[in-house]
Amino acid sequence: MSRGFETNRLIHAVRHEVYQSLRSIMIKAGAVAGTILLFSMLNWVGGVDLVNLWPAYGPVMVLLGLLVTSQIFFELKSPGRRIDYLLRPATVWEKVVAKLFVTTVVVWLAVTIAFLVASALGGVLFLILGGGLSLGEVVRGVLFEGEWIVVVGQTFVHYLPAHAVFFFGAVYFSRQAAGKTLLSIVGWMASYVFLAVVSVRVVFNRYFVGAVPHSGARESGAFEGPFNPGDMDSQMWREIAPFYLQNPERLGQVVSVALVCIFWSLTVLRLRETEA
Amino acid sequence: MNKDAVMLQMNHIRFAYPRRGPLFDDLDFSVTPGGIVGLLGKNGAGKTTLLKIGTGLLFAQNGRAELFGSPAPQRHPDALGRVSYVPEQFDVPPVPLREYVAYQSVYYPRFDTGLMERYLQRFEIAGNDKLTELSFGQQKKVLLSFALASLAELVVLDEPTNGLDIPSKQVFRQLVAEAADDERAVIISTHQVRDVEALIDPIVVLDGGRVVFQADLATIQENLEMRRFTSESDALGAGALAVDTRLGTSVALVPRDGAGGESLGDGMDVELLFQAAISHPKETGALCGGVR
Repeated sequence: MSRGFETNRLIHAVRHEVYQSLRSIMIKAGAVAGTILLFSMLNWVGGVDLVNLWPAYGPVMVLLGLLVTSQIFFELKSPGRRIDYLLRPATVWEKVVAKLFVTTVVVWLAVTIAFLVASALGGVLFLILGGGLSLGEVVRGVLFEGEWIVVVGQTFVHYLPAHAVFFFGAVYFSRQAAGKTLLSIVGWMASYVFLAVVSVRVVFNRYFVGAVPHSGARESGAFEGPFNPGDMDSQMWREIAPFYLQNPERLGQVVSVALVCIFWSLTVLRLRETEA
Repeated sequence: MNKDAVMLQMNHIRFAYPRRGPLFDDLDFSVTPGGIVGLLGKNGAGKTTLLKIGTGLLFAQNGRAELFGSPAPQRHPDALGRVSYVPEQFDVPPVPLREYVAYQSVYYPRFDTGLMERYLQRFEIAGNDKLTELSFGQQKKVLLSFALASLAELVVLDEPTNGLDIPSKQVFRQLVAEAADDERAVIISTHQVRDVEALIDPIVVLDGGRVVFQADLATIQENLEMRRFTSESDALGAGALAVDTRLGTSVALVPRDGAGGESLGDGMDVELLFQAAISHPKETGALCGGVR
């Protein structure tokens, strides 16, 4: 046994987590994909048509993933199982990585497989009911003309920041983690926006009421007197905004990576401090 | 493991639950290999809390708890792999028995599958039912079997006989007696002294947030004796530390060098010893060299 990270133990911890959660995740993913297929087929009342489930993949993957993530530290919710989990001879890192694997890779694969199966089923039913297309056309149609891989890949990347926040919420809140995490996000964002609005109003009040004309703005003719949001045109953004505000995609990437790193690390710290 | 090595060491522990007074103020406790430690105390004395602090499940506000030489709150896997803990209250996962054993046992490097099978047989647990479909007593037997079959050097059993029927209590005593050796230690925390009195040695009594008594059976028997008296006042007159009336006579725990009464031999009534340790901690401890 080692005090640090040990590959064999990590692999076993991952296997253990997958064994505990796989069945439940597959059932949930299958149920959701099946339901979407069923609703898509309701359109067949007016005539059989090809089913493309992939536009629903993103929302389903994110919602289902966050739901599974919020319940992943289920051992900590039960006083009777908490002792067993906390005393399991593995490092906190190994325990967290095992749960990370389940809530990211396993969930992602399960939802993807469920959508592939549901799409295939939709295609077969379409052929049986005489949809009037060749097999190749049906395959291309149910696979979104090959775009399904792009959808699956992009969804995973966009899922990770949200996952990281809910992953921390799962270990932080002992009851109703999903709801409390969501409420915390909303509360935090609302208070942040409120604080920002108040701060800007207080700090720049004299500019907003036109008491002190902005010399730079006046020179560029952007605005004079009372503030008008329309004055903040693209030219002005280019001149005064920092690099990341001009490149919101880059900003999004930086924020996403930061969120993932911060909240996964917080999860490790929180689990380390958890008592029975 | 070296006989003198300390498996569990707790020094100057101060602990309080939120919004409550301190449960422990300056508690010292240690466990070395080679015994079945009987941890006794009244309800709410802090037996479970002490075990949780010792294994890193709770963090003391002050003092130091070490498990196999590493700080207990850090829960190092090498230390945890040498400990097996069966709590008083537990929830088992909804998995078949064999799968449970297969997945859990990998974490314990010395786990003996053959031994596990034998223990389950002795407890008359057969089949591969889901653990959640077993009765509470059967679940407990599975966990006790697992804890002993893990061959962990320190086995911690919190109220192990709760929920066991009478034959199973007997099997439990046999298994623990078989499992104990010079390399291992078993801690049994209980308030049902009768279930384990033939098993435990040394005996530790917890009261008022402190270990008020800690001594091995040989020392206790060397210094204290069970005697029968005609009345309670006679017993108290002979310096009894604890008295109980049984079938019309008074049975008392007295210092061995005291006078009066009829000796009941070398047997030790742990309930009377417990009463003595609670009601006369200084005298009982001083006689056995175990006052804290």
